[in-house]
Amino acid sequence: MSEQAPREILVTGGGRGIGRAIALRFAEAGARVFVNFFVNHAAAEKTARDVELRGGTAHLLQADLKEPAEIKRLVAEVERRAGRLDVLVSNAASGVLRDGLELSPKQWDWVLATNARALLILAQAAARLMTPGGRIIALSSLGSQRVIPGYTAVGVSKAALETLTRYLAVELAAKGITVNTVSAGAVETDVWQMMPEGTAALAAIRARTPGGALVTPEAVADVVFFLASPAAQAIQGQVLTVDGGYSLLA
Amino acid sequence: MEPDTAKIWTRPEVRASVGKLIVESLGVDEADVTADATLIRDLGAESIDFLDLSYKCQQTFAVELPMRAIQERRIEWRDLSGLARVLEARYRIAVPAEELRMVAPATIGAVLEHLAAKHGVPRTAGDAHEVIDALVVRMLADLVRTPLDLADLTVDRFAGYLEKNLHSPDAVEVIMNRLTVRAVTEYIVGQLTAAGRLAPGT
Repeated sequence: MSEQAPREILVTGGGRGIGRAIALRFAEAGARVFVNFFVNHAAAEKTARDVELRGGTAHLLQADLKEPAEIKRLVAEVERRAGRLDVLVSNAASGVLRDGLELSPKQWDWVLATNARALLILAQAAARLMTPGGRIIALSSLGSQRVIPGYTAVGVSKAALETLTRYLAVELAAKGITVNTVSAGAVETDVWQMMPEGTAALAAIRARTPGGALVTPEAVADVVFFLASPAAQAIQGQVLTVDGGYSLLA
Repeated sequence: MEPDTAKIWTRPEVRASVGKLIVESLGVDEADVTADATLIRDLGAESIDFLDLSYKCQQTFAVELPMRAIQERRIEWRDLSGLARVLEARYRIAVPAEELRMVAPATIGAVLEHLAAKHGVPRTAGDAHEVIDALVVRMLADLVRTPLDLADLTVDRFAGYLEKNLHSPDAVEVIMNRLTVRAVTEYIVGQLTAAGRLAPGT
């Protein structure tokens, strides 16, 4: 597999959780991984070390993805070091846990800019560095389709991201680039520890999931890795649900 | 994207830069950013503002604001996992925080009664006070390396809030109100000093 694996990968929000698992998955195939992070330096450094331990090469790139100028700088840095980009994984997300009626314009703008607009600006900058076979993969969640309490802003941002996936897919298909999104179910990452009753919520989701097991970050990373492979060339503009069947139940 | 780690700062420069970053991150008027202003109560800061401020401090000073550490401590108080660890150390009994959260009312007296009834832990005179003190000492020790000004916050005063209610919003508020503009400035000054990046005598 490794001789087919893309070499130059950018993972936004690659320091922790699903982004970290994706960075490590590509590292196992010997890739050079540009690990973008926002504020958690220690976590990003650990991911970079682990990328190297798994056989990859890591570069840390700190950037605030709600700022278009920072995204352009981020991609310019990839260009400077690698000269091209094979896979863009737009994974970084930020959220405000608040009901829609309580959301402030500032919170809305923050979440939409970080989660949805970032994909647009990243894709605009990254597509220039890609050749046929290039891949853009974004990460979404069930909240784009279903109502999760307090998830208004994130849910809307993910819906925008999923729709953007389809538009970008059509635009970039002529260049031989595919654009897809992986919509992950509840994945056990440290995000849940920061939420009130997060552990209890995870346990309830686990109990409801057919098969009784939560989706792991590694399972999501495997699907992202597959979408980045030549075998997935014909998958274009799709949102692939990876939730262990959780969303199938009425 | 790369902060200047070679720059030697003076204290007035740090003060001015912190003020500017707070104005930018929180979207507040410069005139409101006084040394004693608390970021949450007076300037209305919320979680996304702290992320912004943390990022800008890293970019400007190459210093991280450990806001995450404060958030994690808050969660430990709220979900009683901090209390669970204090009880484990004192009574050598591992009671999950979920079980402690089921105890009503949420007072230390009720928790110790529960431990006595369900786990056979003997009650002793003054035990409630001792457990709360141990909990507060633990909390405050965890917060020493954060940008909170804990200078005159005594164990007794803090314990008073928690003795009445283990989830006391007053306790959380009294801590979070120690997050002042001055405290953030002093934290950064401390970190720059430790890194040899503060000009001596400033």
